[in-house]
Amino acid sequence: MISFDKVNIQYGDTKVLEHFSMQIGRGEKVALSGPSGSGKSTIINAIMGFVTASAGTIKVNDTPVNPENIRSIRKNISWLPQELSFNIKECRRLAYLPFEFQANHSHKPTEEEMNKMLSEFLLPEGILQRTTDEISGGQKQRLMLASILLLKRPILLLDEPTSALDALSAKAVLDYINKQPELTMVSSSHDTGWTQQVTKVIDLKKSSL
Amino acid sequence: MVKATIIAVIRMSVQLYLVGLYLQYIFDLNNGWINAAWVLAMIIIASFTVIRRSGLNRKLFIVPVLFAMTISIVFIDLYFLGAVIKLDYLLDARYFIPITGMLIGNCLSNNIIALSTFYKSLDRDNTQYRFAIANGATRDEALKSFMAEALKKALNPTIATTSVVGLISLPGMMTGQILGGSDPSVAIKYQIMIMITILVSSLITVVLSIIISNKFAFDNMDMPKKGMIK
Repeated sequence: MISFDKVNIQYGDTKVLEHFSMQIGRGEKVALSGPSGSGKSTIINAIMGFVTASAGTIKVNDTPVNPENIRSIRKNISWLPQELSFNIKECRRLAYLPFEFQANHSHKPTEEEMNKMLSEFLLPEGILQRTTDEISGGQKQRLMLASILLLKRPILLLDEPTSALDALSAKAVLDYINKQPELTMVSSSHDTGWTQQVTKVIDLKKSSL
Repeated sequence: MVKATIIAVIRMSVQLYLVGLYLQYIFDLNNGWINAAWVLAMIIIASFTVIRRSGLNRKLFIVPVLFAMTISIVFIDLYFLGAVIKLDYLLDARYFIPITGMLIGNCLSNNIIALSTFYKSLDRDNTQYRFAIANGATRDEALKSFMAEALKKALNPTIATTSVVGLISLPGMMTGQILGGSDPSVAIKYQIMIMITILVSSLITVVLSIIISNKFAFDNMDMPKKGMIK
């Protein structure tokens, strides 16, 4: 489903990935682990086409990630960044943000569907009536994750998904993801609790440089 | 402070005196080509000023900004001088140069605020842009909130000025006309028309500058090009 074949990526003179290869199959739940700077976020950004490989091939569903294909590739992916400093203050607006885009209009959840998803992630009732200043970083992270999961896309990319979560919330999130057999998840994580519960761990310290 | 003030006043006086001499010469000559060249020079200088003051990469942005300012000024001039004032000769120096100059001056300050706000907030809130692009937005959809913020910041001062004209200030053009012997009712009609024209031309310039510059500022993966901001 996702493959990297001898991929090189560098920022200026700094090589982040060199001859890096990996294969991720449909439905796998993968954690990319490794120290800071080992290329975890870079791999996720490369799948989205946010950074470009200087050598090698990246494919999603056997389609090379390049300018011709990137828009159709992105239609199969949902992505949650680690940093969530958006200029939107209302939680409701934030939760429904992805459904404002024309491509997602048909997936717009009902109030009931949204609330069900929010409760799966242990979010309190009435959170949609609050502002983002009134909720914690972990709640915001789960709110956004719930929102993008409702897009029902086959690939989910998560950049440090547990960075603001306590163990209980992280477990609730991963339990839900593991219950979706068709969903392919690629995450970057330092969290051993998270890496122990995924189906595959790719250690970048060993795989890459 | 005293020295700087004196220098500023002397500079202003000399500059205006020289411009006055030059304008007198241009008005007497009233050659359409020279008038158009004078206005084009003003647009080019204004475009470079917009790029410099908004802190953007000149190589990347000069063409779109120049293009946007030229289109909006031509469009507004055609409307104002042709349809509103109904000049027989659109390039008549006495109207074409001062009115276009006034429009360019206003468009310039609005455009500096708009482009600077748009690209700096895109740089600052890059994650929000990426989030939108990654989760189904087209580039235009992903840039919508940045565009709204830029328009608001750029046009708010002009809207505020427009709304209090006559209450807390008498505009220079109207005052000049009255001092020059015009009837106040005629001066007011001109002023209303020019205020609306300034507002509309600023809006057109700002929107066009952002839309056209977007065609140059992103790579073929819809990512903002590196080095957009100096």
